[in-house]
Amino acid sequence: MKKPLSSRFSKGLKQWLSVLPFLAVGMTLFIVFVLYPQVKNIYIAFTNYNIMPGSENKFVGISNFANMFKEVTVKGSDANFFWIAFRNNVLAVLVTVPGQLVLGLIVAVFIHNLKVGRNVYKVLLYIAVICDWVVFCNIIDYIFQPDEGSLVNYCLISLGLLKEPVAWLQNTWTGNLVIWICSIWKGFGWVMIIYTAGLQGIPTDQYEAATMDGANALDKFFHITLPGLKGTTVYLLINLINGAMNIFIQVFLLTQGKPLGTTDVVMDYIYRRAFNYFDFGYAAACGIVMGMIVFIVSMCLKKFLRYGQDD
Amino acid sequence: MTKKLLALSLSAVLAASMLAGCGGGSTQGTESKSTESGKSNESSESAASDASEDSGESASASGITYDGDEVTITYWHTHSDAEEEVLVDTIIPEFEKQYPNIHVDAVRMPYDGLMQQIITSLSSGTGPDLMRMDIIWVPQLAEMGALVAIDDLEGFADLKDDLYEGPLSTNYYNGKYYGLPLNTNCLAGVYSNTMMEQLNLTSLPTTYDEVVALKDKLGEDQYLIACDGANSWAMAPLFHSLGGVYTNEDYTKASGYLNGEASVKALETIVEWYDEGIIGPCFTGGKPDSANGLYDGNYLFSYQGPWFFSNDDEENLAKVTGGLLPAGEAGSLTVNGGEDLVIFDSSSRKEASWVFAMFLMNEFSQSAQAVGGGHLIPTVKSIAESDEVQAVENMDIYIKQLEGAVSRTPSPAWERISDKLSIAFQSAVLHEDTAQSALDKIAPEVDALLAGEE
Amino acid sequence: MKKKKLISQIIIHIILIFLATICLIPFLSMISTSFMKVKGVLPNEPIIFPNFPLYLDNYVKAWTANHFQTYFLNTIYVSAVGLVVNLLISITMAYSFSRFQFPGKETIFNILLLTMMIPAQLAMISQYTVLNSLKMIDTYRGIWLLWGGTCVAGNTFFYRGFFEAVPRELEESMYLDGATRFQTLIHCIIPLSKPAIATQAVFAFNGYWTNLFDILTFTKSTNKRTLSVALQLFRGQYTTNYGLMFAACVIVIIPIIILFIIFQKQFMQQGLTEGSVKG
Repeated sequence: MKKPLSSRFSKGLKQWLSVLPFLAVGMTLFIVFVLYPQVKNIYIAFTNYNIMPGSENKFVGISNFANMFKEVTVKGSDANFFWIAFRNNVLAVLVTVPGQLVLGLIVAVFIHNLKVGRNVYKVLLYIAVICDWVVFCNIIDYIFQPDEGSLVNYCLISLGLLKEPVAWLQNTWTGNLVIWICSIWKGFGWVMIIYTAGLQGIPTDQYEAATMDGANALDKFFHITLPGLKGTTVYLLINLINGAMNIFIQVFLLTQGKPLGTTDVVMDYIYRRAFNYFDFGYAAACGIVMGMIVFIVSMCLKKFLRYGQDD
Repeated sequence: MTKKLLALSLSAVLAASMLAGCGGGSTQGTESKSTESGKSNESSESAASDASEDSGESASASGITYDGDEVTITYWHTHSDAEEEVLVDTIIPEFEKQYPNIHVDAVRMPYDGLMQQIITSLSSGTGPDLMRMDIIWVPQLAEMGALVAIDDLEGFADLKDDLYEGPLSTNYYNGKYYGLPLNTNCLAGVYSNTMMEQLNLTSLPTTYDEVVALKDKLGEDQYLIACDGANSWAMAPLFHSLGGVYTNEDYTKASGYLNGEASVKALETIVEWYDEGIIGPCFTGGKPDSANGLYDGNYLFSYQGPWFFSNDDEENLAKVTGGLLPAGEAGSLTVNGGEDLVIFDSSSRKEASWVFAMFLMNEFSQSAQAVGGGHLIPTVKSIAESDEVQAVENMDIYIKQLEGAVSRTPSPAWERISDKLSIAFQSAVLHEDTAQSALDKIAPEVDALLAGEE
Repeated sequence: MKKKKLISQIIIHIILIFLATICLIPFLSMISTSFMKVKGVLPNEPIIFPNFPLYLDNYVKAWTANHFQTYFLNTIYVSAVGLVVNLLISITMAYSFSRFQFPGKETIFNILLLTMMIPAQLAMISQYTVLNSLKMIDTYRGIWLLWGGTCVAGNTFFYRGFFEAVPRELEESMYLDGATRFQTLIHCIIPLSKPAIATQAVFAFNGYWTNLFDILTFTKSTNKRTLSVALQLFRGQYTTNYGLMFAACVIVIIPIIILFIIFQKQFMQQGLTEGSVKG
């Protein structure tokens, strides 16, 4: 079936030549600033890396990877902390991804169906998204202070949901909860905006036709809106999972993994191994394992939901 | 989204730091507020005029001449507003007057994520020429080969004898010195006047026994000791005073010391005191925090560095009194902090950098920073003991307290050791583990780290 | 029928107002706190509205400290150019992947995806080496190139979906009229993808506006720094002084919110492909 090699080659070359003007600059910068560091990362992961220029980097085989499992069941060991951090990332995916997706979708559909004031709500709900993370975490820290007078404690006590103030950021599960709330609150506005853009892409005549056929609002939502948003949803899903696996700043600013590393996440863990301990090889290895896991999950999603394939 | 997250993650790096809990406490704490700057200005000016009168003498005291080419050296520091003012308005102009061929570009860096900044620029051999850094980083960077050994540089041998032993030792790694102690500090006591009155204390308690005996007189929401966290920095004065140690005296072994009888007993006592409400809730991050607890009469005393007194307004500071820490079985011990001055090996202007480093160590600069700005404690004995420096408020207390200052284990692996200590302390305080078993667990690990193994 | 619609509209408004209120009260609380003298201990009730007369000292102090004004101008400059670079590169890249066939396309696309997922904590070290050998440390040019490179993967992924959703009929008719690839991109794809581009542009601009780490690492002179560095120098210093810290925070985020409000009117209300095919 295949054409001869030479003709395939010349066809491919021609295709490349026509795309190159659009691709060249971006690809070059990508290779230099993203791909090269990542490839070097792989090299670092197999060495006992010293950052100083000209120093010898001893090849250590897979021992950096093996260290991620060394004494993994012993509480307080380095490997144990890695997997606690990993667990927290997985929990963050399970909680914050559906949280952002569902909340963002519902709000987007509401806003899309509004006659007046669409943009007002978009702007109001998007403020959290465009807010600087440092500023945002300052606010979160402020409203979750352990005092009776902090916003969250005060409201929950007034509503009778709490008897006494909670030290939110000082305990494992309340700390994780705050991190999740923080992620959802900061993220759902973005989901909402992407979905409203996606909703605008669904041709209105489909809805008109459905209305003629006597479909109600829910029918339309499940049979037109959701399928129409499939591509957007897969895009969001991959991004959100990736985001939740790469949570960092909230943890770094709010709990620093306290107490006892039980609110830590992998990114924060890696950061500390590299820049506090100078254990660059191990940090790189952890990063690669983490990246592979996320990539495999994403590819499965992409395959499973058939996104980005030309028909 | 992802790019954003990555970018944000990286920016987060600077936003808060794990280091702040232990070593960082000292640097961050040295910050002082701009409300104070009026006052600081005055005092720094007076320091400047005093010192410039005998600047001829101090210049000859450092005794170095520079006849190289005209250069600009880059100096990274993490001084606070008030300290930076002294540096930029007083010290550097005087230096450039004496050494017209050397210009100093002083760059103030945010403390958080600073190590990443250093590492990144070092990896390409483009670091600053010299830097004022937290004392705990020197062995780590020296091990990496990033710093210049200063043993044989001009004037060091003479200067060395006039330096306090503790701060100097923080620059020592593998038989050589890799930096100069620029300023030192420690935690000393700050006592709440309100609590003193309420407990009918006419003088500061001198032992922990006296402090603990006051337990029954406490009202609701009142505690005796405000310790800012179960980590190797904030808890160190208490732990050491009660007889606890991290390693043997040569810093080569932790087993038998860190988990020895005295250390275990010290940690057990701390846990017990926390459970009984002798140590207050700020120990585990609860409220009130130590400063406000002192002002409002929730805590009797707290462990604070000298920056505490330039950190708040006078109205609040009138509510507290500085003093020595109470003594435990091992005496009135505390923990040593401060900053060292290092020259990077990648610098192409080492000679000029050394001239500037020695200038920062001379009487003019040391007194200017002690009297003005953030009241930094000099590391040169003769300067610290001078009348002018001793006259600075609370300076005498800190210089006295420094006699009982225990160095944090000088080791390239200190960051790891410190994290391990903090985890052991926390699991004991939170009753996840007993003091004995928590310390037993980490002692051999610390042994390995001290021996330079992974 | 009309009445029913009206009721449902009102219900939607109520729900959205409720949600927006919950989301915004903390921000209001921050702004109010910035107008008050709050240090360390929080009052017994949360601050939602400020006390009058407003306490303005926090703003005066924040604005005059740490070269705030110079950094303000720097921030505008570096983010605006950064955004232009970002748009040029991401749009051409996404166009390549959505409208061209070439060998290895999907493989390259998957590599782009993969790089998005590996934590980039250590990448900065290599990036620094590259910029250093290009002699671009301590220049904004270096930072723009870096941002151009790092935006590729995420934005190609983002725009490709939208570009592919643009119906090809329009382009085909343009080709028949003798248009080049470049012309169809400018006159067809970009106008029809405006909402998507605007959405991502606001996001990118915001990322550059608040970027702290690249600025701090790749510029060395103090006069090249931006607002987030100033905010950072504030943080360590004034952590317990909520009033002052929040005043600095407000100064940093207000411009970006204003910009966002201006831009959303331009772009976000247009339909993605509405009407274009029919017409």
